Amino acid sequence: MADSLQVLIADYIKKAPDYENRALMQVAAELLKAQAQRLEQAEGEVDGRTWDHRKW
Amino acid sequence: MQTLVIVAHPDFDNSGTQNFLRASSAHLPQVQYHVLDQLYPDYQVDVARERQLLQAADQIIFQFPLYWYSAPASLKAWLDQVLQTAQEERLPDYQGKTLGLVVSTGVAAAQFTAGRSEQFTLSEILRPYQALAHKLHLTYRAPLIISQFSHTNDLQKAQLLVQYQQYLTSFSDHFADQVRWLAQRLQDLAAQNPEEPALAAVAATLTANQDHLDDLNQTIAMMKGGGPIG
Repeated sequence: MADSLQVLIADYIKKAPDYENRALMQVAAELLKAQAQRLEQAEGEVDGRTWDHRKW
Repeated sequence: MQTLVIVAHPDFDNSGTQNFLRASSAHLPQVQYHVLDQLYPDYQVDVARERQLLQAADQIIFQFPLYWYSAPASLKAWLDQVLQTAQEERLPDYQGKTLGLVVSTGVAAAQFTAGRSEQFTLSEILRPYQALAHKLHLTYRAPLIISQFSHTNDLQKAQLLVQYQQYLTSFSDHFADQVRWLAQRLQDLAAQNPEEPALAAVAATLTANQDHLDDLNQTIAMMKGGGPIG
């Protein structure tokens, strides 16, 4: 996640007056982390399968 | 989608879990709350009215704390009366509707398994509701379990709020659908609060990431299937 986005999120969570909106943003931040992990895994799997020697 | 939340709790107003859930769903327009113990403190159910409500709903939720591995008495009384048919009478057709459960437990979820303190899984304990759904031709979905609500921290409460809202308004439990649901919520909020740049930025990033992830997953699926590499 880009640093600037992290700053925006942290700032919003700190000052959002509505609990529900704050909660949505907290969960969004967690989902961004989960997406980053899934993207890394999926990219790794594509690389791994591309370099599968049995398919050379 | 219209969701009818049928709550069984003998002390609904003083329950921290129930108050949290009710507040979490207060702004959802297509969700109707129906607290049995308040409507029918004597357990004498208005059967015709209840059947009308069932007919109007796309999704029916039974929401209750687990008391001795079952629901509080008000739900059993409701079921016994609403589903009781006179001779020759047939129950209305509920085909196409969904039954969901929102169940809170005082014991940690991890204990509901063979070899742990509760010995049985919650899927086993809640089987009567699955059987009921089967009998009534309702689609049974995986229950939403809330364990030891009073022990949850701030982030876990936020996650529960979102999970609960999604459970009431969407049938899908898939990660991609959860992401798109949340991105849409943030986008709607951004439209109402244009002075908050975080809302639109996060919504756009969630969507872009998910599009990329979906593309990668499609590529992997093609590679596994031996098809062309995208």
